[in-house]
Amino acid sequence: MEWILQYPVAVQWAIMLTAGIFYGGLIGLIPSAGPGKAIIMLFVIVQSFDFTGGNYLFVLFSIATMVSCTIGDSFASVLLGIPGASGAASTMVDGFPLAKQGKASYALSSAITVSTINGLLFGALGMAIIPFYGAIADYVGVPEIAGLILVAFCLISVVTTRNTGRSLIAIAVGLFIGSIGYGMMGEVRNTGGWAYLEDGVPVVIVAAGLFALPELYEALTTKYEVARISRKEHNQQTWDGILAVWKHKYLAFMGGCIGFVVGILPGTGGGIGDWTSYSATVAINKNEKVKFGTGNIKGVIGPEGANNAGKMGGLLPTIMFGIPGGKVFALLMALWLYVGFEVGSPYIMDDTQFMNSLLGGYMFGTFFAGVLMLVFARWCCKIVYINPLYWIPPMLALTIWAVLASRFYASVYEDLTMLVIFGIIGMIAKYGKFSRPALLMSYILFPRIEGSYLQLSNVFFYDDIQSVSAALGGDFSLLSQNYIFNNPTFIQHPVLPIAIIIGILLLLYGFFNKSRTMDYA
Amino acid sequence: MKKLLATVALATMMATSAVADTLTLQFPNGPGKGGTAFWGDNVMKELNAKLEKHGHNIVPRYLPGQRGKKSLKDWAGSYMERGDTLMIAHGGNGEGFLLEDVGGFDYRDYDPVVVMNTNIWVSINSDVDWKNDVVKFPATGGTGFAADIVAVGLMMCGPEVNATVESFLECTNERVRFIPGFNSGGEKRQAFRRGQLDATRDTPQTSLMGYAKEYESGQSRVWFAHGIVDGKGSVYGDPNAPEGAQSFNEVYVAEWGVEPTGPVYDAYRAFQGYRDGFQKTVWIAPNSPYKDVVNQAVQEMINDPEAMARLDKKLGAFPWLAGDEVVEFSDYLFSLIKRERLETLVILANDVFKYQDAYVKEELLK
Repeated sequence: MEWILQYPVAVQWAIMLTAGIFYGGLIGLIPSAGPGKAIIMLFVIVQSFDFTGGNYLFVLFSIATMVSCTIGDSFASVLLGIPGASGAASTMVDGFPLAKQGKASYALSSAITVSTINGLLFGALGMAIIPFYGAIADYVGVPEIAGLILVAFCLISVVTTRNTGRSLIAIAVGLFIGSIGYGMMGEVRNTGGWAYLEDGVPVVIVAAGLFALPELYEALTTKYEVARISRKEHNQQTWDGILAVWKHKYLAFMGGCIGFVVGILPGTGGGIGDWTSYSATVAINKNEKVKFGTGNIKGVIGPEGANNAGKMGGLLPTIMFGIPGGKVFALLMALWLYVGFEVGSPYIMDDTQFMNSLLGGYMFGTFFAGVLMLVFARWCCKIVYINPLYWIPPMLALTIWAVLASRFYASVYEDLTMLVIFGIIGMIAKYGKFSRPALLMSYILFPRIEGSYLQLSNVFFYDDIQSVSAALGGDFSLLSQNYIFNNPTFIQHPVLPIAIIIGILLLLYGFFNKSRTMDYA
Repeated sequence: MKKLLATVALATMMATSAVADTLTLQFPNGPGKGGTAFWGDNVMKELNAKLEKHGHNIVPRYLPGQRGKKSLKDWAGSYMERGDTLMIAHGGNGEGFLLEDVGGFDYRDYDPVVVMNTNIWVSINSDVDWKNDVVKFPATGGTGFAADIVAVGLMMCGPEVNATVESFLECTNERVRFIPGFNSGGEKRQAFRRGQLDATRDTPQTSLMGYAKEYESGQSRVWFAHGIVDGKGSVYGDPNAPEGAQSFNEVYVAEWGVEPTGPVYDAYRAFQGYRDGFQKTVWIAPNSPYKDVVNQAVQEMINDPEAMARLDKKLGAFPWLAGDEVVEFSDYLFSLIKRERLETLVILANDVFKYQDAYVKEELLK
């Protein structure tokens, strides 16, 4: 790669940005692949950047890859009904029905536009708050994070189906699946003795099985024909999609805020921000004419608004404290370490060239990837006119490849078995009206809920829990010491009680308000 | 003429293949996943430069799963047929080898190629009165049962309590509170910096990177480093440690006035040998036809000051052992396996960590 140094810096940047955007975009198009897969594959080439100045170019390249892939993963969700990544599954819920109605260009342009604009907006916001981020982070501790995770979890109730019993079953199944594998102390649980399950069930398998396989089956068995649209109509739809973002600008902004805040929380990958934003979109839009899950454009704008904004949110704690906002950021941290950058060290912020590469890669990458995808969308949309019989085999093969490759082909038979099992669970959920979004969200959130609970209970509420446990065992002496009422946590960390109240209200709204307009399982 | 050309071509192909074989380095994790992947990739890069001179090269094979046990089981079942494969094992694998079913994996069956002899540091916030108060320490779910947790208990409880396993457990259950649920090392470090954890464990490089400001301001300090296993029954100071930082034994003597002893300490020392002494290792099958050339390449790497400077910069300046030294070192660690130590470790793993899989492995005692 050293050959690149013969060109001026601007050309070096242009080459790296272009390479990152095309590579990331290409991986983003592959069903179930997502940014994690795109970043993992960079480990193969990272050593080629081991030359003076190469490390900065690599940062630029890797960050452009991530943002481009994040925008690109909407394509498979909208056009094929197969999630481009676990987060993009939320875009699929309303995006795919729109594509089947002949409005693929409309849905895609909305998704790309809001993802790009919010990426730039929240990118700028991220840059602006970097100098103050240390002070903000000082305020955000275990109770604050636990509160936000609680709200995200309670939002699940909003995306459930009208059948409360089946919805609760879906949540319970999701929580159980999330609990499989190593526990918080390193103990093994719920594996039934199957060693493969010790690492838990991979999110890529759960998402692909729950969503991709049932949708592929439906595409095979349900005859639907998408009316061809002319180039003029495509342009009109594209423009309408962009206007829709403007029309629902507050919703888009809300999505960005949710994605950004959730992105900042440690370990909240797997599309929690996208799903949370989708749930919030459903929650605040009652009595919709077009029900959510049947092709409501708001159901595309909400989660896609959170998409790239969440990536900037996740970058902040990653760079400043070495706390990855999710799996993708953990991988980026590792990659950057290879080229000599110890993100999280107090000195990284003083490396202006690193910060320029990072933020430049993020902003330019987002902008150019967005524009390119909008142009590119016209040709991609043509896939919806093709008989599913022709595109299902290659897409299924790509989905399987994405699953196996993300696991390094270490457990091929087991991974395939699990994919089939989750495909069956997905079919049962889809046709039996058990909410798949609720199942997926509970599964993804389980470790964070458990971790937050254990941290809260051991650091902030230890005596309270001991006193209650003792009381349950018949010893009331500890209760009399009033640990609970004397505990200053709720006063010192007001976010926690507020979050608990919001969470309770969300649960009540989600399960008992019949005016909800969600119709998707 | 055709036959002659064919013969020459065939001979050339055979000769070329004989001198230009591709070897495989098996990782117990995926790319970029943790310190071992980083270590392995850097070693592989330097080793490749040396192997190329011998006409070979080496490529990675990632086999993640079960905290590294998947790779061990895979290796144990096929190493005799895989002379072209080198296998990386890390400290967690040492724990698996001592306490769990790892599909017949036994270090003693393989030849050690190279060891980077490292250790872990335990840092503590300066305002913590660890002799009297409860200490909140992170449970290391991802790492498994770690030696630091035993060391912290030993340090806090003191000589009298450490005299028996039962009194040690009673003391640690009361005074050491393990805080689980940290999703990443960064999250754990932030909790430590904010005082939500009283003490924590990290590699030397991570400690220096993560707590530089806190060490400098006096907010926290290195409580103790386990120390580098010397292969002769003791440990010595970590060359990377900041001034004033001491090994576990030095701190213990300074605080309690006597050398640490007792069954728990005895088990800890053996355990630390495997967790830290075997923290970063490479193994090869004893019947491998590439053993000599690999050992030669490793020796060349260790003797190359530029290569080692690059590795030290990225991995920390730790002692590297190869050739006869690594064999002696491994033999020393094998000699630490004793029934009483294994029994104690199993009790600690089951009682403290609620492990279901830890058991006294009779096969190790043969």
